[in-house]
Amino acid sequence: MSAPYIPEDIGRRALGLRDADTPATDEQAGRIADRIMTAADRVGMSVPEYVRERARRLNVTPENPEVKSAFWSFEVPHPDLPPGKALSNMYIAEAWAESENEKVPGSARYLEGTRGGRALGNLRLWDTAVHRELNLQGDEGWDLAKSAWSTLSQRYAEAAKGEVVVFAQTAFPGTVLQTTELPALRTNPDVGPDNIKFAYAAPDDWPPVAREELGTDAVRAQAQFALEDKPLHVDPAEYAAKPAEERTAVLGKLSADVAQADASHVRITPLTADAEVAGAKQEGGKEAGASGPTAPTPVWQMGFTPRPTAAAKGTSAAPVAAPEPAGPGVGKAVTGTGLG
Amino acid sequence: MPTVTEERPPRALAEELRGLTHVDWTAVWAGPPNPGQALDDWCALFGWQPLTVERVLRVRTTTGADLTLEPLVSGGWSPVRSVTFTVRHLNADSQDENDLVLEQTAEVWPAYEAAAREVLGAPEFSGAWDDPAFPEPPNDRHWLPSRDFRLGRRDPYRMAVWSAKDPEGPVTVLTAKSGGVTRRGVGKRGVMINVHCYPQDAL
Repeated sequence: MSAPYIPEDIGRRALGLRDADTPATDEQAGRIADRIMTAADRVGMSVPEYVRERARRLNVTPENPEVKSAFWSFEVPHPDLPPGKALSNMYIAEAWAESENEKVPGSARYLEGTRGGRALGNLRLWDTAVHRELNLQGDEGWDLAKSAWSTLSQRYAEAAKGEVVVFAQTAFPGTVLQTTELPALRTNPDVGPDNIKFAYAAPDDWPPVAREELGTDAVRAQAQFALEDKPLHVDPAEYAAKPAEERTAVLGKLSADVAQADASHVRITPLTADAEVAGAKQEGGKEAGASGPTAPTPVWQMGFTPRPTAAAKGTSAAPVAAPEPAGPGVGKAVTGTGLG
Repeated sequence: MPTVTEERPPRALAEELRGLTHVDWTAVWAGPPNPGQALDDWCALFGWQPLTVERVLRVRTTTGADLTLEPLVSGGWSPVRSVTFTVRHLNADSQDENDLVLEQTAEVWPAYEAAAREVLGAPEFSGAWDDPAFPEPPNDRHWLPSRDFRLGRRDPYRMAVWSAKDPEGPVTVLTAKSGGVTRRGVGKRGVMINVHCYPQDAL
């Protein structure tokens, strides 16, 4: 698989962002853990309870409702890196958002750059030194990091509006993008499957007909192409070998399976306005996106313009009714804890 | 009484360290590929099985340890900053036992250190947090904690260090590190005996 095309200025900026990133030292991990344990103790919660609750309350709602939201997954090769080394799409998404916001302030955002994302990022939950300082047992640290970030990711996707951009070629099964963000975007009435745009072309090792028909944004927003034993799988090579009618049937089944899966998607209860304001005050500063129009969607496709074809037309997931409001128990869980 | 929540015997530590002597460290430090067949094949080279699909790669060895491949930067898997696993985790059941967990760890430490010696030979350093010969970090981004941090928190409580003869091989660090207690002494202490493998040219 060759490298997806990334504009040179974005790639260079992303590399700079990566080079500025450093892991937490034991001292930093100690200070972070101290802050978390002290805050958890103050509200009478265990550390995992406190962090999970905090992730439910951090502010990821854009002040400019027109802001374009970016999503990312995995890494991509970069021409300035040695062969075999890759650059996280997180830095590409960050570089893209920075670049767009320089042109039109408040027009683009990515999760880790939101007010809530920065606050959760400051907790360094993916760092084993922080786990150790928090005395989290075995998988507890990883489970906590994953659940807190999944919660924030879902709320970020549920708060998105209009077109969104995904910095990945496809969604790998089991990732937050595939299990949390894409379902939330597809079922978000302000986004929906037709507004999910991929920045990169489909992998160029797919057969041409698969690139043409499975490589559309609509199909990539629904299917996974990697693991046969996981739901929503389509094998590009097998697909390409089928006659047109069978390919249409494959896409129809995918659509139906996605609609069924999305019907069980449960939104996270939005916070009350008061709680969000309290959170915003605590984190300080304003999220990018205070005003201005939306950023253009980057479609960095080299020599390939995905468009619906005869087989791919109408493959967007069937419209899904707005999800039921969460039950009172869930709503209760996010209010009245005194957390900021 | 303090509770042991994870315990692999010293002989299991030796077994894991022996397995790590067969690893292609150059490939490990460069980092794994994205998930899928390429990752499965990469892990299989070392007898590992991937356990995660994003953020931080964790793998299970054929001898049962769960290794964490900590990346140097967030958001991706490469390059790899360290390979880490835990062999023992002892927890205080109450704050009154916070010193007891350190004492009890100190009692079992020699057996783990001896198991590591069996595989790695004599360590360059082995000692307690207040050992005058305890190595100092060459800079403030190094994996070794600063003197102030170490003495102020008695952490790491015990440490032993081995450097591989091959320059691409790891610096292997056996530590007893504690957590769970704030600077004001609130919380129940836990102490983990961990192995960390760092590149020799790590900061």
